[in-house]
This record gives sequence, structure tokens and C-alpha cells, in this order.
Amino acid sequence: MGFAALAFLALLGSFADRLYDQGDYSLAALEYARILYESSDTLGHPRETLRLARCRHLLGDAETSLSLYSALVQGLPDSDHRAMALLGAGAVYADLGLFSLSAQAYSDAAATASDSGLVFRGMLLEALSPLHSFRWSESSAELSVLAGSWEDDRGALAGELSALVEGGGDLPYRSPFWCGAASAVVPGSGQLLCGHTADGLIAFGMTAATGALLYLSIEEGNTSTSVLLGWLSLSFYGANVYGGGRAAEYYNAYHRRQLLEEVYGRLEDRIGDGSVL
Amino acid sequence: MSTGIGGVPAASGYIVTDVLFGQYRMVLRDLLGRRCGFEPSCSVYGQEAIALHGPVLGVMVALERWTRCNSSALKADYYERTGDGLLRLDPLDTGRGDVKWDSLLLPF
Repeated sequence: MGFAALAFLALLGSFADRLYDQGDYSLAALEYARILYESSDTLGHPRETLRLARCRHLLGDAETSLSLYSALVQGLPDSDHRAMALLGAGAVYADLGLFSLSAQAYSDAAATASDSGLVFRGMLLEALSPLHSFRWSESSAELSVLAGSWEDDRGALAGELSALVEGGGDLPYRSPFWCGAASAVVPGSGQLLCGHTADGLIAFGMTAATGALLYLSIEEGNTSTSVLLGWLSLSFYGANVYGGGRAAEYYNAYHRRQLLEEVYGRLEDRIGDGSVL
Repeated sequence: MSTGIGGVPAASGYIVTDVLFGQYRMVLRDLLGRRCGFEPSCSVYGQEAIALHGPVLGVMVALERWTRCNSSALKADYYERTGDGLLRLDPLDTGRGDVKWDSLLLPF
């Protein structure tokens, strides 16, 4: 490749990097794809390929992203770029909900990398993987092992996260089954137990109102109205029972999300100030 | 099934409900203005519920959402919000607290 072609590729690369840093992943992906097309060598430009794969991932195209990461993993010898591709593939798998595959990819990345920062990232992501399935104690144990094996600030971060995650076992919890059962006995009570006061009152009101109308209709001997109101009151009653269980699911999801957001915030802070990663 | 705002979801498989929900979205909602603060909206949610659970359970699930769709629920903090923060996310499968940090830790 001549000097002019190399200079052109370098120019394209800096333009693509600028777009990428500005968060314009759609245009950045186009530019990175152009670089790879001009050079006709994906493996010769691993950084650009990694960024193109990440752009495709962020744009919601997991399939292309994974195929690019796979090309790097299969084509590159053991190297830091290969480890980065494994980390990227793990992130795609995590977004797809394939958590065991993502944990495996992170583990392979940690085993492949030679750079200590990459090894730590791989191990940290692997230790955090059980959190996606709310296996708090498992993640906490893995993080504390990580904290013990790294003496510096990285170990301290893993220790902090371990302590934070350990609290996951003590999160407030409401059983969807029992909240649904409570609503079956007293309409709206399951929602009230979960702190969803307005939902509980409305569920009680609608169930009581349709039930009362049904009672009056039966008293009057109006068969067709009774059938209609019977169906309606039964539907509202069923909705109220289902709502009790769903309120519990929301209650649990809310508390889990708060803890996970704290983990995210802690990681974001450390990456932001550059003290650890 | 599409659940986008204003996006027409695929048929639930029940002609009566498809016609009712479809007509509501085409005529009434545009006349009244969108009031539902949830994403997907109550009509899309109801249609999905009937497609998934059948007409009997689906109607119950749809009614449950309808009873929750009020101003107090829209102030509640236990719903995740859409990117613009205007609507509350409430898909049929309750959110599992899917906070993902994986991309945050990528070094490239």
C-alpha cells in the first residue's frame, strides 16, 4: 500500500474516531467500514474492527457485531486485541440475555490478555456476571476472591463492590404469590402491601363496584345484565389478583434495580476519574 | 410484536379485539389525544395480552393495566422510564432490573 493510501486511511481513521468519541455511532460505523473496505484487511486493523463491532452493537445490530468479534477472536493470535474482542462479544451476549456465554467470554478474555488492566476487566466482568441473574452471594464471593488477588486500587474496587453486592441478599422482598393471594382475599391488599396505594384503592373500588352492581342485578332478576356484569366483575376480580402479584414483581424489581444502579454508578465513577481502569 | 408509540402491533389473532383496538387507535385516540403515560400504551398492551394469554386471561391482564393507568402511577418511581423520560416502561414481562455495565467496561 502506497504512502498516499496510508495517509488517506489515517485521515479516515481520525475522522471516524472523532465521530465515535462524539457518540455518532451510525456515521462512525460507516467510516470504520470504509477503512476496512479500503484496506481489504480486517485483521490488519483490529482497533477499527473492534470499534465497528461496538458501533454495530450500540446500534442494535448484535448479529453483525458478534460476527466481527468472532472474526477477530478466530483470526488473531493470543493478544490483547483478541481479549478485547472477547470482552466485546461478552457484552453483546449480556445484552442478549445469554449470561453464561458472556461469563465464558469474559473468562476467556482474562486468560488471553497479557495486559494486566485487560485481565482485571475480564475477571471483574466475570465476577459481576451472576448479578444479571440476581445471584448476589455468588457474585460477592467471586469479587472478594478478586479483591484478595489484586493488591492495588483494583483490589480495593473489587472489595467495595463485593461489600455492596453482599447486601443483595437482604433486599426488601414481597412474594408475588402471597401478594396475589392477599388480593384474592381482600381486593387491593396485595398492592397496598407493596406500597402501591392508589393501585390498591382503585383495584378495591372497581372490584367492589362491579360486585355490587352484579348483586343488585341478580336481586332484580335481570338475567342478561347479570351475565354481563358477572363476566365484568369476574374479570376485574381476576385483574385485581393478577395486579397483586404484579405489584410484588415491581416492588422486587425496583429494589434490585436500585442496587444494580449503585454498582453501575461505582464503576462509572472509577472509570470516570481513571483511578482504577 | 411492535410496541412502538403509534406503531400498529401485529394482530392478536382475535378479529373482534383487533378491530376494537385498531379502531380505537385510528379514531378515538387521535381525537382525544394520547393520554396513556405508559409504553407500550394500554391499547397495545391489551392487544398483546390477549394475543399471549387468550381472550379470558388477556382481558383480565388488560383491565389490570387500565386500573393502573392514572396520574398517581405516573408519578411512581418504581417504573423505569423511556429515554426521553416522558413515558413509563411497562411491558408485559415485568422489568427484571436490567442494568447492564458490560459495555461501560469495554476498553475501546
